[in-house]
Amino acid sequence: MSGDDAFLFEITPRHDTRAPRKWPGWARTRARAWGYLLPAVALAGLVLIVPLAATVLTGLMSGPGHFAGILRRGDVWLALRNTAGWLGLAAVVCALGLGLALLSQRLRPWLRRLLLISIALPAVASPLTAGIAFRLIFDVAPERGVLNALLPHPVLFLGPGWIWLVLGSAFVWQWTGVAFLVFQAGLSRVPGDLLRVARVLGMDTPRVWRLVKIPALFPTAALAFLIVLTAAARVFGLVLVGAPGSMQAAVDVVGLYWWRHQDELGAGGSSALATLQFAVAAAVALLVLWRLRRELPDRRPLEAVPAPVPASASASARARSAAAIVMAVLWLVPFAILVLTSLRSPVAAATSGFWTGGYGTGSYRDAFGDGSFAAALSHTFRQAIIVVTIVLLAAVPAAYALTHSRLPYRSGRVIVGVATTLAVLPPQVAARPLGEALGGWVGNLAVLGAVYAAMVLPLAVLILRNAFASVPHHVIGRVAPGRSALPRMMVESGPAIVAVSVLAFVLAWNDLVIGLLLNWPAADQVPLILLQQSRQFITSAGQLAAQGVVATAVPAALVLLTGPWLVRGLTLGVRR
Amino acid sequence: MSGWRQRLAGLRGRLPRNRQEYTAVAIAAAGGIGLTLVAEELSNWVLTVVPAGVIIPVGLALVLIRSLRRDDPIAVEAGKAGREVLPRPARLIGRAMERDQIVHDARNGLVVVVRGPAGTGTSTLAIAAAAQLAPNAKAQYYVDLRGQDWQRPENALSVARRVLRALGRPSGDVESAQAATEKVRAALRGKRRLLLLDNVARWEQISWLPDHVGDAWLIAAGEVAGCDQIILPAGFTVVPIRDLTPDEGIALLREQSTLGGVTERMDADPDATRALARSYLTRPAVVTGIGRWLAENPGMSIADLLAELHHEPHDQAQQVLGLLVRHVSPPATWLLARLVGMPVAEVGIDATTALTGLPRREAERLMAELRDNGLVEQVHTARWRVVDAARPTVPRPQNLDLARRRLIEYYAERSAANAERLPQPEARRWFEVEDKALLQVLGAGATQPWAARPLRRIADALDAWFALEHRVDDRGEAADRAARAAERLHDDIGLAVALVRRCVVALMLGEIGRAKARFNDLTSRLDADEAKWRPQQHLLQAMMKLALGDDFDAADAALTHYARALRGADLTGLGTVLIDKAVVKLRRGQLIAAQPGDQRDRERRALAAAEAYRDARELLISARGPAREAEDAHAEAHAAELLGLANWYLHSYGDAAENWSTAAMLYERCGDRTGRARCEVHQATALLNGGSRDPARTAEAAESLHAALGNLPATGLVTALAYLHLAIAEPAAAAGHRKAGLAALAPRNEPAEPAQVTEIRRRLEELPDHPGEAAAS
Repeated sequence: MSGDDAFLFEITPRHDTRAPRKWPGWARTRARAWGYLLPAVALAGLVLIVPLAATVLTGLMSGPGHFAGILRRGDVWLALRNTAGWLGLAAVVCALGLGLALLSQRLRPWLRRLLLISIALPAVASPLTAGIAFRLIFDVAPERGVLNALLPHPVLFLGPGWIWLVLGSAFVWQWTGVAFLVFQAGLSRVPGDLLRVARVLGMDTPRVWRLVKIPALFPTAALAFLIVLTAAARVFGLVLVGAPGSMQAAVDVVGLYWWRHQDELGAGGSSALATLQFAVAAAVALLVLWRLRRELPDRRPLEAVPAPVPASASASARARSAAAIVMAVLWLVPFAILVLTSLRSPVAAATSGFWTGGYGTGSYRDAFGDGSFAAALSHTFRQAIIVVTIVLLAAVPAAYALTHSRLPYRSGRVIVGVATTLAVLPPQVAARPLGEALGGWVGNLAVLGAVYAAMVLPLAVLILRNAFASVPHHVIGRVAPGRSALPRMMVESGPAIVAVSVLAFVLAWNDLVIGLLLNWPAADQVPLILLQQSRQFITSAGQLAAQGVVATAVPAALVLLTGPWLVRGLTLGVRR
Repeated sequence: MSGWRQRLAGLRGRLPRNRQEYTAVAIAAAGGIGLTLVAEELSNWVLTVVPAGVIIPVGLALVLIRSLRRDDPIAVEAGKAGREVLPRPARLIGRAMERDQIVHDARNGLVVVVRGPAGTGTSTLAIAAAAQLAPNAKAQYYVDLRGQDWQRPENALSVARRVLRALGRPSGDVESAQAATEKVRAALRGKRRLLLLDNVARWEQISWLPDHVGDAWLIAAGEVAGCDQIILPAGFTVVPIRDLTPDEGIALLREQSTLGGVTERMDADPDATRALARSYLTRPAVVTGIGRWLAENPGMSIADLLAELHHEPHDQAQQVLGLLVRHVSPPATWLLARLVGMPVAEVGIDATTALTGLPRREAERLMAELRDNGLVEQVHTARWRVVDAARPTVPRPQNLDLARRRLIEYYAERSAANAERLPQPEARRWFEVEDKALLQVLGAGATQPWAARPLRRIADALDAWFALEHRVDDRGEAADRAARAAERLHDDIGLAVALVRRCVVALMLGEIGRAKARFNDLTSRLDADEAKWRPQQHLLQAMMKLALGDDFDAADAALTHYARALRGADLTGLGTVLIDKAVVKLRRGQLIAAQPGDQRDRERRALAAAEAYRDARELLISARGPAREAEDAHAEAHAAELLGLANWYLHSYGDAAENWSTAAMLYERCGDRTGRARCEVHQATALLNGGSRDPARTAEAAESLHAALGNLPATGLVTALAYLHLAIAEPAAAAGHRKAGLAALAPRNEPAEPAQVTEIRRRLEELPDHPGEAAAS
């Protein structure tokens, strides 16, 4: 059918001439919508927006002087360059995630599952654990370092230049899984209709990619990019543990630089630097938001469109399977080394590699020896549960207010914009005013929990908003007039709520930055214990590995238990 | 009108109205006070006797009244009504020749018009002839053409629809009386049936009737004004009715007055009887009235009667009826005065009970008294009508406000209740009988503030009913009357709704220029501030944007406003939003796909259009959920129709065909023949454009298009498209199709139009406009 022939059908609109029904208490309903937003607004306002404003104002207090002063420092430029490097790496991670997602499309189901688990699991490990695992792999001593042991001549992996390989590969290892998951969901949603139209038009593969697949992947790519960018902009623990002390200055990033030099920079200088860091992150986030705008519900099941390509037994299929197995094994290596090291005696782990023997449970005994690690585990667990509770209490009603309540349209858009910006807010920006305001209260589980919750809140609201917007309208329509549709919405968006809970738990469990900025030196959280241990990395490698394994086991178990829901929950409703 | 007045009016409506309800109040008061005393004994420290003594009896009274009213059979009158039956024939005196003439002419296939002034016995004669032609009641179809407005006879279209309904045929999609001619012929042909249209006021009411319908007989009786000023068509014949001779008059009076000593008094004074016969016994209606009067007044002689009659200045019938009015009981006169003062000419006993506040039995008794005196007559089985000639003789009471108000509230309540029950058969029957009464009430010119709310309810119910019946012109009429009423009553809500409906009617008729003017009128007369608009105003704005051009962003934004202004659980509104958002997407896709460009552009545009179609399809799939839950089969049909289009554009041809079949079936189920016809046009378009042009497919498409055109409105884009496709399928007749297609687009009458309309007009204009050209090409 030619284009002109589109006009050969009449498209008849539908009229509504019913009498308008009275909406009982419209004003009350609108007030209720703001009521739903109130907890989230209060939490974000007190913990994020007010401190952010204080930081920006402090930075601007004496005009642009502080900014100019900061930018005159060579080490700041180095940190900025390094940060830009990390942001660039985010693109590599996304590309790799897309490649793996494409690879996984034509795999047998069991192989696809293996690839999925092995690649996605590092995302729940803390950056500290990643740092520990990669230092063990890249240790300069051939008797300890796995890679150097394989090479004829030792390479100074933790020295200048090579250190970037260590840190970069740790980052890629950790975050590729997230991009992979998101792209996999995105690829399953490439519209079959458009592919059919492209076929009818006789397009070749490159044109199909250019005109159909890439535009369809844009929103997915935007989400993946947003997540990985946020991680890149907030790189902290990985550098702190992954690089030896001598290299720290060379691999500094803005966040870390700020932490190290805040006293030296003074209130104005550190505020100016934090503002700069935030401005870069916010600009990137808002650019991404533009691609994430959506209005329509999208509830097609992931499996349905298009049908999975049947696995064939051709040579290329075998090559794909082999590549997938290699990737899965490669991704499991750091975990394996971490586990093997943790199962060796502390002395053996400090002096030799895992292939030389010396296995035992000594490292675990040491790890739990003085009881502080067990106490930290318990404390962190409780802390994480409190964070999850606060996040759900604030984010669920806020997301509801942003989707199906009577909030003014423009207000809704502004709130989404603010939430996206706050989602990438580096904790350093709010840390100083918060620390000053909270004082001794920060030791309180609920107070610190509220701070963590506020950091997770914007992302949680965005994810839940997408999920709530995807609930079909007629499901909401079943709710009696005047009654809230929130309970129905929560039931319909179960996967997203699970996903947000797991996200909040994992972020609170793994967080180093906020604890370090606000709660240091009270080492009552697992990441802080790991950080303390990492000061004597070589001598306490076994103990560190054991603690790393335990610290990773908890979120990993959680993710494995909720796996199928997580993917749906995170990607539900992601559509332009 | 201020809100508290409306609330007060609603509250007043709950108070007792008749003796039965007052009794309920008394029982409630006594029982309630008793209960209160017990309650006081039991919980002295909680209740004090004063407030409880008021609250409990009032509460009980309201509950009792409510339960009494709930037992009212909502559709009882309509249920009894249904098909009208031929009245029992009376014995004829002196009209045998005319009867034989009627029978003879009818058997020859002519439409026989039995014509004579009111009261001359046209109905009796026609009924006698009809009974002779078709003695079996099942073969008789009787339609009394008197309507609810006793001063203004119904128009031809309305008559045609009533006839079709009486014949058991759908009437909603008939757009003109002439269009009904063939339908009536088809309904009657070969079945030995008789159709009698009684009380025909004007020639135009019956001029469309088919003649020479094989094996069926058609008779029309009444004054049939205008009949003598034209040359009758060949298929019609007139049988005029003359006055009775004095002998025939006397014979008829004797025949009808066997009781009350009337014949004795006639025999006692033959001269006076002869004088009475010469002056008064010329029309059967007058003879009947005189007989009644004499029977009711046994002490009066014929000479006394003549003396009484000579005092009256009116015509014969009015003189006699005036006498009768003076002699009925005061309560019956009181009822008669109220019946005459109402805006409707015919009422059922329920409506009579409501407007008088009398108990049902009392109302029935008084109505029987009026009937026995020939002042009211029973029509349509269960309704009563004041005899037209008696109206001027009835004394007018000073204040009829209360009765009018009760009647309007009665109709408001009933129409709202039945509108909610649509499309159930009982509710349909109720509206079939009462829709004219509702229209009459709506246009009656009530000016008191209390009327705003009930009139709005009546307007809403009528719109729902006419929409279901697809009677676009009646919808327009109802909207016009509602708008005038709302304006008179300063009822902003009612005015907004009525103006929206007027505009939608113009859009549905393809009169875009008029729709635009009405929309501008609406916006200028109501809130200029869009934030204060009601949902339907936003939707209308979207419709206008789509009708006047291709401003899809603005249409989409208006739809978003509409969606946000809807109530939470408004599934019908929700379905409408989703369907109309899909319409915007489909139209956008159409426009993108149709833009010119090179091969690469075309590919890019095809994909962009496909994306729009895909979005539309998703919206339409979503729309089916609310439509099903709201049990709105029409919305489901509409979604399926558009889904078919989306699938067609996305090259899913099999799915498209299935969608259109489903849509056609659903439209058929809801009685929307236009919707069904649209689906047939889509299917034919698909056949003509779906691949190879094989002659069988082309012939099938042409057949579908011809069938569809029978049910499509004369104007509008889809009609123009049907003619365009027909011109392709039947090149030999292209010139005729061209002309008809262009005519279908003519009423737009507006320079701004969507690109699609311009393009279709251009293609129609490019068709050959002489038959010869087509043959040559």
